[in-house]
Amino acid sequence: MKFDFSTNGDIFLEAIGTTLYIVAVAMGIGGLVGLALGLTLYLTRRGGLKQNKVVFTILNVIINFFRPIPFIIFIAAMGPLTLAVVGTSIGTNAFIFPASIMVSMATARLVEQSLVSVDPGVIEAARAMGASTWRIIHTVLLREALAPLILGYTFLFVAVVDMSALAGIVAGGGLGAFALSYGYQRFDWAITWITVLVIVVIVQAVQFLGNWLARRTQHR
Amino acid sequence: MTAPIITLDGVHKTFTTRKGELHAVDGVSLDINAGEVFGVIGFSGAGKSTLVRLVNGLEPCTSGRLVVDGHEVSAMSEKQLLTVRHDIGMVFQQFNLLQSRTVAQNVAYPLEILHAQNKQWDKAKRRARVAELLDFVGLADRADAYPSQLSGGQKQRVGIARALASNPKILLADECTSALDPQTTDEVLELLRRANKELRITIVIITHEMDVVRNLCDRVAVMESGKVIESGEVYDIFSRPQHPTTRRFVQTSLRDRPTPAALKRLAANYPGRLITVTIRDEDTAGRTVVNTLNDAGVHADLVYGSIVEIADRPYGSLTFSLKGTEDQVAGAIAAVRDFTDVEVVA
Repeated sequence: MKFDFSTNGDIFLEAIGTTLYIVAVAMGIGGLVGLALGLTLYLTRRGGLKQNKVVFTILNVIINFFRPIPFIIFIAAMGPLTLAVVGTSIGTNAFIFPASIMVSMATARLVEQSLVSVDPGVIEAARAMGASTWRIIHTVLLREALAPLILGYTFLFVAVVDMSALAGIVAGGGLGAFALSYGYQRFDWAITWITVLVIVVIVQAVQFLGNWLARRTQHR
Repeated sequence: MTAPIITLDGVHKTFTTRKGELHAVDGVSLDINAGEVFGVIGFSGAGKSTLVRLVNGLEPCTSGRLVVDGHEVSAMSEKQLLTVRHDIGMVFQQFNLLQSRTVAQNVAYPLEILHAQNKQWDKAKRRARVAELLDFVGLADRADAYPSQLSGGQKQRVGIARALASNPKILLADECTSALDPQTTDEVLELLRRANKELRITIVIITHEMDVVRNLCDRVAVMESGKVIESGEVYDIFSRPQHPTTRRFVQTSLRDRPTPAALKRLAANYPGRLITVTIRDEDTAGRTVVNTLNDAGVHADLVYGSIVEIADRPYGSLTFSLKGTEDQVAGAIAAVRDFTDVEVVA
């Protein structure tokens, strides 16, 4: 039985909504936590403003531990912790929890890499003018690295959309689950491709916006 | 001269590297007076950049005592240093402007920091001060440009305006002309001279170019391997360099003495005795070398040399070819040696 948009169109719309919800929340939480982790990595690294070998090494090892785990296995492995934190190990929110952790780890690296591109001389100049570390973070580091950060977060958005397709594994819904249940399993290639098209449009729109913003903030 | 505004007393800075300890600053004692332009010259790796970073506490001293305008910088915490740094402006070789800010916003940056601390620099005051500073450095028309749209010389002028924004008593200049072409260098040095004269700011300038010292400084310290090997009035350092390194620096600026290769060519062209005579204002006042040589009865040809002004006083050296009997030549050399240095070079 082919998918009937006239009667079941809201299932498709709901799937789109779920995907956007997962991406928004996972990126919101993971993006912020990752920003903090990335800043910490940058500040505590050797020669950093708050050089601290212990903090840096611990954080570095944690991130390196999580990053290579295939996400589908990670979701399964996190089951007990998800149950403890979210209260359930199935559903959309049960998916968002491990997703946020993975996004945090990826963001941390991305933020660290973007900040490394900031000219150390500019940071030194700010110090010479009596700027505190906190002021340097928000007026120098985040401002000077804004363009690479925007591009980094845009890249991340695409990666999170990709991740979100696995939400179906814990009955979390979304476009991934939709494409599998209504397209793949019913041999309805059209539905699969319509889903793909929607994802491509979302990703392209965000990438376009990210490029545009990055270009506007770049003054070099 | 007034009392010192910067005093270094046995200051050491040691970096621990993988290869062991590196004594970047090795027991430096110096007094820098209020209102003077003090040069620190040395080859790269001599420790001069580290030395200047000790003054505003960007690098903490390993040992020794460093007092800046009554504050014992060597004993202050990073937090205490934040306030002291408003009295010490700094300009850099690579300008270090914030790329994401316009010229005016760059100059306003130190005032924003100051406002956060003392609430005395609201937006209107900052705007007025920025306009005044951009006028001073001649960039009023580029206020809304971004650093990437400026030439090197313009960038450095923004750097200087920014360093002067908080009305500091001291300006630290770290190789601030090394990335600029000769003409732009002169413009930047002229600007620093004006800042020194009109704003009475003390300037400490780090450089490896003796021309910068000659054109701008009142006093200079020569550094090598973390130590000050020679220091004093610029004229004295130029006219009576003691250390071989100092002599090398002086030669890079004056070029008044023939190089060994040039000397070979001169000796081939002018058989006979070649002498190089030092020209200092105090020695040669009223008695010219040429007259003395003529009086001694030798035929003297001026074959090489230059005389320039250092700290508004003439200095240089002249190389003469002397022709005459052996006695006449010996007598001529003795007569000149009576009042200045003579080197028999061939």
